[in-house]
Amino acid sequence: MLDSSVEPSGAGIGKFLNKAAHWLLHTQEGVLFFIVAAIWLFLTIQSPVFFTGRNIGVLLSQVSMTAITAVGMTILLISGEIDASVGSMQAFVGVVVMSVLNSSANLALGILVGLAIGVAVGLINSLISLRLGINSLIATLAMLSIVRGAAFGFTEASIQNTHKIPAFTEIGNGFFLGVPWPIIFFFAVFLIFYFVLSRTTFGRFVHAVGANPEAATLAGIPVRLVKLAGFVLTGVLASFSAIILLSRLNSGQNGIGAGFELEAIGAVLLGGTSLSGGEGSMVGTFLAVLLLGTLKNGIVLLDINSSWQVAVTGLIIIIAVLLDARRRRRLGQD
Amino acid sequence: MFSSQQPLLQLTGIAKEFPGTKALKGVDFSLYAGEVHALIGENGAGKSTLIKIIAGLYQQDAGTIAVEGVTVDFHSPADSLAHRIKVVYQELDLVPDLSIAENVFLGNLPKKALRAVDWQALYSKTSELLLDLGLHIDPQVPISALTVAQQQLVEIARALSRQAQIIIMDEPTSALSQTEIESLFAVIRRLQGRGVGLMYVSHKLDEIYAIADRVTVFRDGEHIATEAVADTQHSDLVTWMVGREVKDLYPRSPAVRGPALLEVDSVSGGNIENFSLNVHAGEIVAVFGLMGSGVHNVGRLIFGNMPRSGSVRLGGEVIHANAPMDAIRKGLGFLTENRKTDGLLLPLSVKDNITLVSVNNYAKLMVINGQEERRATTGIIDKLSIKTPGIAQKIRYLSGGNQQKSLIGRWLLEDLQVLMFAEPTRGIDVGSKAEIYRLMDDMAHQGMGILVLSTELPEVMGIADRIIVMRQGKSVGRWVAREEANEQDLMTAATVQMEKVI
Repeated sequence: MLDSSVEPSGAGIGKFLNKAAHWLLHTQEGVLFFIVAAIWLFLTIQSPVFFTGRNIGVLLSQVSMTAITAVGMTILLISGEIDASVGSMQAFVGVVVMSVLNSSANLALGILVGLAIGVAVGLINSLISLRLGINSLIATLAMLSIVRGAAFGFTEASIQNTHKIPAFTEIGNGFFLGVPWPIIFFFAVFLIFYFVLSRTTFGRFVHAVGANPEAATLAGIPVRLVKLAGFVLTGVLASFSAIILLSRLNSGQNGIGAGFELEAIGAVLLGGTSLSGGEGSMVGTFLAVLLLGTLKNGIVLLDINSSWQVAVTGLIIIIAVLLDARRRRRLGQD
Repeated sequence: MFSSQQPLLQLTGIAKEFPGTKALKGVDFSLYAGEVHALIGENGAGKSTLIKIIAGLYQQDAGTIAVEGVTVDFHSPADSLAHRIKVVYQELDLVPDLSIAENVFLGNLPKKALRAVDWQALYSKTSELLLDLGLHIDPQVPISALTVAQQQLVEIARALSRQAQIIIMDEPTSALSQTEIESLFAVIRRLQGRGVGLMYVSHKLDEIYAIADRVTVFRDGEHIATEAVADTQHSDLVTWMVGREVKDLYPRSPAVRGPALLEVDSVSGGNIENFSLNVHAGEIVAVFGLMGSGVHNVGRLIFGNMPRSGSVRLGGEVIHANAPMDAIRKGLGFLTENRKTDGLLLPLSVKDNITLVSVNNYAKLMVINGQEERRATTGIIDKLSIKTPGIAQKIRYLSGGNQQKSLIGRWLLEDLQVLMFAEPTRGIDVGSKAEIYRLMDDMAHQGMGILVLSTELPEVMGIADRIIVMRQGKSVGRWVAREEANEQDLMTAATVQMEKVI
């Protein structure tokens, strides 16, 4: 009745190819992989610059911030909640961290303050959503405004880098063994949380509370605590993104990050994570972020008016929702 | 008796495959005007899939559908409705906040000039339809104010408003009381007299003898038999459904009664007042009551999933209110009456569903040992003979009976003292039923205490050692099963007050 784990090796290869074909054609990850590969091939033919180490480095560095936030957002969406406040976090964390660095000249302190803001905002988001019972989309949209207001209240102009700590500039612009640091952060965060989501009890509980909170409660899972952890994690990772962005811009700007929340959420949805909770894919998010970066990069390389870069986000969200609806129909859930 | 006519509905060689399962393997089904044709089969036999194909929700992979001799192609529920086919689902699809009239004519509202709704016509037409069904209710009342039985009649009124000639009823009586069932049958007979063809899908064999002309049996997606009900024996039907003879539905053999494990002392909450009971090791205790008596809430109160006063102890230790986690840790399990809303994680795999409660046991520092988890899952699948193509299969693709077994399996992986079963066999076929009862018996023999919360009298009579009857949130009588209890007394205790109120 069950798949036997021992297979003759010949059948094993056939089975593997079968599985690979199924993945490519029938899963959202597979479809995304196919699209990304096709666009990469197209751009490689169209532009001699595209498939060079330097350009791929630029492409991946540019999406690293969206990617890191999207990792947290994937977990949060699977748990059945959402955080729209991550856009304003990019500004607020930026201005506060830069001013802390300027006054203390202590890198560790600056980063800690930044991450602490992430924890705090995550806690406030979960308080409003889980305790007060306000739908998390509404709650965090409100927080999007509040945090933006806080950034404007904190400073009227941009805060320039007067501390000149060399290691700070390295975070967003430096290399380690020839690989840009943002890419290393991106991959590390992705791998860690891929593991957390698929191999730990926390990851299992995240799926359970998103799929059916009532059933999860009756199975003894602390539903609110799991969701709270999702909010805090998203807040912290959004702060991490903000610190990388701050280092790349080398100044704290109170207006930065507008639309960032849509990019992050759009990527997660495009990756096949369900808006209704309970299912999602970290690999899908990774591929979706890659697609986003590739489209933006392609627009520049092919000399298309760069204002269209912003429109790409909207396009991605529409494709994401269409794919989600298609999958639902196939499962007969409607 | 109908052979000279042309069937209203003729399905031929219908096949349908889902990822990992062949739900239907080329089945036939015909329905004549004025006929009640019952479709029975175990869970996973393919009944629901067939209904969904007729309703236009799924498209068949092979086979043809003919309505009055003309082959049709259904691409959506609208196509099916256009051929005057109406499905009354087990989970009714009414809009709770709209009025009865709006629901009956939903998508079909009578209009005046400028496409404005003709409210007067709407209400008078609805009243007519309702009266026709013996329902004396103001058509402006919202659906949410009706009982399930009344809502079902509204669904039927909806069918009549569209001049349905083919009505399909999916487990229509699963949430109805005996009197409500009687009045539903009266409505069915009236429809029958008007030449409507009714397909009646059910698990309850008694009902088939009461209402159906012909019966068709499916098993594992295959057509097994179609016979006139008058020519079939009860035992034939069971054998066809299960594929073997079910000798002993209730295998209860009394075990050694040990010390009290679960002690519930004057618990109140919800509609329950001052409820007390004990469950001893080796014992199966049942609480019986009709729908609305609060029998299921007893489980929620004890488990701590509903605010309560009073005390609950398990093996001498206090179980805190409002904390299912605490109850589980101390060795209490609770299988709720509603699989879909309180039990299943539909987007997740069979494995993840089975190990939901016990997953911590296979983890160190939160990291799950995949091999151990798989082994535990396979053990449960084998023990309960859960039919699934693999442990990674999404549980939504399993049949109701196999889903229910998976939920029971969830608790078997925990080291429990007492397991509470609310409606352990709701919507489950005879074969699985017997297996679940045998499992309860085994658990009792291993020294566990079992508490059954049920609205099914035969089940309570068949499996319990002691029976408590509830009416309107209060316990109204206690019996030692087998020696003192008889169906008559229990039913009277459960209903008598209610009849007076009505």
